[in-house]
Amino acid sequence: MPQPPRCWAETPWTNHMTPEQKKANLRTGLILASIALAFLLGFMAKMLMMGK
Amino acid sequence: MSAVLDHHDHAHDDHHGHAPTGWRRWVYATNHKDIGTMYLLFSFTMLIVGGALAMLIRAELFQPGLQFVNPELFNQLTTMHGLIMVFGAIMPGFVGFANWMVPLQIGAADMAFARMNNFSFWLLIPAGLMLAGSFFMPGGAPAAGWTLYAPLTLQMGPSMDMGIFALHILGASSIMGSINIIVTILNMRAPGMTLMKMPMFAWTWLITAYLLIAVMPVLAGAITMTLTDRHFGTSFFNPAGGGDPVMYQHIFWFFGHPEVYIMILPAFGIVSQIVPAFSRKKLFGYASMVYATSSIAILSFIVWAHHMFTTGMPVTGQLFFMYATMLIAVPTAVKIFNWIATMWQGSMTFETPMLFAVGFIFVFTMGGFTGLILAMAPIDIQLQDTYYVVAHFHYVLVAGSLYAMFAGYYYWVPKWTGVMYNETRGKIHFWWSLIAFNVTFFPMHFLGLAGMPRRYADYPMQFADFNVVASLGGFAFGLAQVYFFFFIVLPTMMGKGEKAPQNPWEGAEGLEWEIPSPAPFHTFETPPKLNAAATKVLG
Repeated sequence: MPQPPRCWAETPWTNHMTPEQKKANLRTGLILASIALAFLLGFMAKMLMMGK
Repeated sequence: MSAVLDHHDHAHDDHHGHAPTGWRRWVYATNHKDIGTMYLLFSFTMLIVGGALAMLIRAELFQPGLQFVNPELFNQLTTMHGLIMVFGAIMPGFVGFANWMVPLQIGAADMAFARMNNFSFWLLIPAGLMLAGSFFMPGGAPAAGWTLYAPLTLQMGPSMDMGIFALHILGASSIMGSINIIVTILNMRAPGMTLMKMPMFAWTWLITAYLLIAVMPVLAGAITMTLTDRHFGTSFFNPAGGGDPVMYQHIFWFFGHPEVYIMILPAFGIVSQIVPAFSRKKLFGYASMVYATSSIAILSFIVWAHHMFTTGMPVTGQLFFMYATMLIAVPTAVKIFNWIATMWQGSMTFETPMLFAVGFIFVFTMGGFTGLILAMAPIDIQLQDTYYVVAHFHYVLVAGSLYAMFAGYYYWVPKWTGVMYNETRGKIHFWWSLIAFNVTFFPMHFLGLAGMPRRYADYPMQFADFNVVASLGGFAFGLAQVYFFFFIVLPTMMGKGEKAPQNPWEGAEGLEWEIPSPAPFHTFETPPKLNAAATKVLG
């Protein structure tokens, strides 16, 4: 029998999502995060390596 | 209804049946409604802090000469007013609305990344404290304007570093929030809730979140380069080392102009929910609204240099940015046409949300027109950095974004709190705000046309009369928001007022009106079955 949580906050509703749903969410999230990272590093790399 | 209110029969789900209590509920919050509430409270707090700075600015400008603050402090006040309002009040305010309403509108149980949602919110607190606390640093708060232009930023004291750090944190929070919103909308819609059936508020937020992901890292890059110029010997923006301060402006406005739309697109979404509800009609031209919103977002990336006409650029460049900017008027006009067409021959009533929505359309359109005027390079060169620009962007951001947030508050507060706000007080708030707003900012057009520059603590006698009027209007506008908090927000938060029915608005449609008021702690944990229009829960 699963142990009851010590605190409700330890089990957000996402813990009840299916593993497939979690995986899909993580994949989409990582793709979006990589876009943000590319914009951050891309702008600075352009300025650093190619001047203006 | 069974799909809306979940009755858990599993032993391990017992803790889901009721809302947690005490400080843990808020500190460890993973529930989108709780986090939305915290965002909205944070946003209102920052609105009051930024508003207090505005009151100081208007007090100083009440008459010519120096009354209350010295010019250095005045520059800090204008800078921090802008930063706090943009990054502390408006942006988190709309994220609060998104947290509360997007999962409810699309039939999702919560946001996709519940713990990241908590982290996004709690990052705001240190950032807000750092921004407000920078006044107490040696040399005072950052004073380079909210745009943080080089070379001023390279010459300022340590508070600039604190400001940059705060913006980095706020940017990280925004990016995480955007990822959460996009993933929630793309992956977690209820079956049958296709993209083209989504409520407009969810649509506008989906597009806004993409804008945020594209431009917040650019701002982060610009201020990181400012930081390395200040402390690590680089010269990105320092002419003494071969750098170019104008390049900072290009990078900043590549972020800054989409940022303007980040602050207005969710407002369009809220108005697109309210106008059909109180016209008792479907939204006119739903698909064109979606395409217009997307067009505005795309165009926002190619107009940034209209903020820089006076820096000197080739005529071809001026022409490109001028015409590209004017092009934005087309999709914006489509939206305004659609709102008016929705109201046309509708059975309209004017409860407070509708008053703010109609007020938004009227006053925002005025701000849009002055934007068109400023888009013309020859005129902009005359009006650059005058009070005409100040009037323009306050018409867009106060009468635009803030009014839409007020409209959204009145529209959804029955769902949030379970009680109705006091209609008479709401109407007083609307008329008081509308009149005071116009008394404050309309005279600024004349001041700008007469040549009064912005960001100065003093001015010649010729500008005195309009400044008195603007200051009196400003004080009245500030007082209206104090009234709003004590006589409208507080009573609803304390549960005082008429009990709200499930759907208090006769013409309102959407899944948020399919759940009881106040919204239960957990909703849609089992994906609901929807009708063909995806506006009602079946069974």
